[in-house]
Amino acid sequence: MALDRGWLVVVWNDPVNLMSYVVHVFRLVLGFDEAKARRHMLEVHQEGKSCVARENRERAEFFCQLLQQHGLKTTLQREA
Amino acid sequence: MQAIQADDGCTLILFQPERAFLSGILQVILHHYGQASEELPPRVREVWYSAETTASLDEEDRHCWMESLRDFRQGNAGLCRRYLKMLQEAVQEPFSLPIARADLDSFLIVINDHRLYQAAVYEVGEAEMEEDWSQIPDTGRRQALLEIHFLAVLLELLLRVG
Repeated sequence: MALDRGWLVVVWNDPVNLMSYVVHVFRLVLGFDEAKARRHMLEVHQEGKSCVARENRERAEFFCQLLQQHGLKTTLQREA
Repeated sequence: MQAIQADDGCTLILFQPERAFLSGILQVILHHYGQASEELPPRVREVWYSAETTASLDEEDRHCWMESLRDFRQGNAGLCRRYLKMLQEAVQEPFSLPIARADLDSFLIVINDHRLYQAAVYEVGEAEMEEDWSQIPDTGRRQALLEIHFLAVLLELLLRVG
């Protein structure tokens, strides 16, 4: 049976978190390499948000909590 | 203020005014970490306890989510106390604060939490971040901007060597 991976972890732009800090958090929490972390950080900065993970609900909540612990504005969305 | 790489993490070198300033900030953070979420200003609660995410949860899940985030912050209060004690008892000038690699991420979160707190309370947005803090007439707001920028420099230094 296919796993339910229909939950999106979305990080939103905010005026306070430093770009370098966001890159650091993406690398640490999500295991992104430097280039991927920078790409998502820039997407957050320029587009206002970035979907950083697509997971089943449990894992999506786990990542969402970790990102929030680090002070990033993060929400969960059910995939359309 | 300077940060240098060390064998197990890094060392933060602070002169007396910077040490005093950081001590004051850590004291305030400790006070805020000790507060229940409902005691915090609503805007801070939104940022620290993610009102947007928890809005869709039922009462029990929302409570668990917020408690978990609060426990996490409480966990970092110990680190704050340890560093605060070291800063307050320092006699050497400049003072070297050793930050173990295992503690670095927690310290970054603590620093960042205070930036988020001040920004939320004083409604600091993109435009305000560009303001010359020294020209701001309101004392509380000026202090908040100064702390936000001071801690940004500290964050950048630590991220560079961490």
